[in-house]
Amino acid sequence: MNYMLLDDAALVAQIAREDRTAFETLYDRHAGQTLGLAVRVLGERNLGEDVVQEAFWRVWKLSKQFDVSKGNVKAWLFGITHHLAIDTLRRRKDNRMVEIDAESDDPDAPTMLDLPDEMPEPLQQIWEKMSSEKVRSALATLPEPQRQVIEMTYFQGLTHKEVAINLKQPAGTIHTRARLALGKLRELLAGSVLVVVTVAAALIQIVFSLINQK
Amino acid sequence: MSIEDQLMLYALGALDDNEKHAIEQALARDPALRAQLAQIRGVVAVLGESVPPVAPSAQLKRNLMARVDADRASRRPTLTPSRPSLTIWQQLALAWRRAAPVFALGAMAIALVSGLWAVSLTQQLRQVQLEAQRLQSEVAALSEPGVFVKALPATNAQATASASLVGQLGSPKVLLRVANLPALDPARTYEAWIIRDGKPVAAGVFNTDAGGMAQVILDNTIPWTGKEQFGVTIENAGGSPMPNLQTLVFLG
Repeated sequence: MNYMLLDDAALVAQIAREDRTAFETLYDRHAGQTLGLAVRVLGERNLGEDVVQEAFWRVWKLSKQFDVSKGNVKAWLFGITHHLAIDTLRRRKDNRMVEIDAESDDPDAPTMLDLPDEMPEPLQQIWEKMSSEKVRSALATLPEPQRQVIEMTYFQGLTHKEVAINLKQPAGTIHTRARLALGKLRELLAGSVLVVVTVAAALIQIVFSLINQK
Repeated sequence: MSIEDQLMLYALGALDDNEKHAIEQALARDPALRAQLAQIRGVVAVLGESVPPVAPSAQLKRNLMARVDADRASRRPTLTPSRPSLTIWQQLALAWRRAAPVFALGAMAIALVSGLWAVSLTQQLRQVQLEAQRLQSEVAALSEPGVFVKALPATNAQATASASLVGQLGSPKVLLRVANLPALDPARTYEAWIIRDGKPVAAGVFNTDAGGMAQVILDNTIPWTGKEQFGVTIENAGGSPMPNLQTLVFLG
């Protein structure tokens, strides 16, 4: 079996059968991106690697709960990585002992953020056409106040209350900005998918027209 | 704060510990909330794609795979020597080895029975041989001059019984053989009579065995002339001086 040809869902299905090679393949495919996210949140490589190790470990342990027909492996992996990175960041800020694997010995009782989701169809389409460049472009088009809230919560690990204090804005305003940012982001990414589909449809139509003319 | 905002902030990681704990409890209770969260998380997770990747160290992968290997080893059941699949001949050989003690016991039993049977047959053969020798002797005796064999007719009382008398003229001794004559109770007996010139003379008493057989040598003290008659009656135990004609069994 050529594991490199398997998509993420097929790899996770194999991992659920304790397939070591499938797990290694998934790691090789996504370790760099997840470590990038962890380092972006934590600002530190060593802790980032601890987070990535724990995130993949949870994929290994929770793979049987992943529905290959409905879930998105990358979204699941990013979700776990982000959750662990935020927890680690807050422990460090609180001068608490940083133990990444605090929950790792109890994978049967993971937090909601560790569990794989059944991703709705529109989101699946977004993820299928996803690229780092598209996401960066979509983020860049957000209004600065909205982008700022996303930056401070998702990447810097501040709570909504801390963001409100830092920006000297009411909590409700922060919530609204975050909501608008995510809505806009979704529209932008879905739109890019729509553009791709529209262009593809137009090209097909042109091809058929040319064939008919002949 | 609305539940939608709580879910959004939870997905962004922007709730404090208390708020996070509360929403997780709500999520655990409500599948609809979990579906709503899945919608939001699908978009939030996209943000992870916006950061540039960082090459992980080789040590990270080694540590992770070592952890996976240890987990796989711990889940693997303890290996016990598995029995290899056997060919039909090996199975037959195994079955034979298992059944051999039973066959051995059976063979021993058969040998024992056969041995006893053989002993029995040998004894029977010996008896037959002895009987043959005896018959040969009798035939030889019967072929002697003056030897006679006389069948004794049974009366109606013992119609199925038979008797014969073997003797030699000039000899006082005579052999009486009876068959199918029922055995009598101890209070009674069969008594043989030799009748000469119309006068019965007691020749001896006997009884038959369980098979109704008897073979008795009677000594008449007077040499047999061939003119005598012979009779058998049933008398009281010990015999009678005169025959009871009401209980006559043979006469001839």
